[in-house]
Amino acid sequence: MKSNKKSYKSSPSTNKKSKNIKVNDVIITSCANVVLPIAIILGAYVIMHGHLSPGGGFQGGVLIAGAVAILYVAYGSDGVRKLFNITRLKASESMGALGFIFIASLGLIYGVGGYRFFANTISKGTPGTLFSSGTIFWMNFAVGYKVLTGIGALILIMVSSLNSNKE
Amino acid sequence: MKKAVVWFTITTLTVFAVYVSTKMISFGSSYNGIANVIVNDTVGKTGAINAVTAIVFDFRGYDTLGESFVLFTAITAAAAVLRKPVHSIISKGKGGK
Repeated sequence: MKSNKKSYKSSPSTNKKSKNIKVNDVIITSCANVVLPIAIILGAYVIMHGHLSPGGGFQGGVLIAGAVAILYVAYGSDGVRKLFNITRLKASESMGALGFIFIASLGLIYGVGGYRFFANTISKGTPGTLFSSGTIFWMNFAVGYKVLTGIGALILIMVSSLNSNKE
Repeated sequence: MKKAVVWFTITTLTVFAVYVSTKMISFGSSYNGIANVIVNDTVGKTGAINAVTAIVFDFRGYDTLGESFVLFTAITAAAAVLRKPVHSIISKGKGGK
């Protein structure tokens, strides 16, 4: 445990090689370049087809947030910090939560047979097509956005706590 | 006095719970409740083929709302406990492209 901590402490901000962790290793970097687009596209697919196939907002959001972890493994904490801004991530998470509550409160305004919170008021379309199931589709989007930004911020915080001791 | 109030409350609640448990539907009987509605009318009521998503986002929307609040609280707690690294990210990440 102690030796691990030491290696994290000396892990580089200048992309130098340390004892245990290699940053910008060729094999890991090229593997990550292949895997990253696939992970992001799969997550987007799972979020969009939540009402048609297994999955949904939570699962797809976590799949996309895994991209942050892959980025850290391949490019080190500097590569992650260049791409993601934590204040923006937290603001996006709040936006996702507010969007979820907004879609849920549409039922209070356009009531169908009684004004209820979480009522499914948007037209449902034909079952089986992409734009069916009314508010469920949009709630999937809101929850997926909230989860992907939230878990991304969480992974970013944890990653940056690994080598914050030297600062 | 305080003890008497506590014992009175506990006794009343216990008697009430036992009374309710005798009136409950017996296990295994055919009860036409929410389960039958979910199994039979999911597609008609919500238009979603995936029944699990229909339950999570429509029939039990409040559950999902609470779940997202749990996630929000967890992330806030993590940011509060790991205060130092968060500050280092914020001060560093502002200039980053």
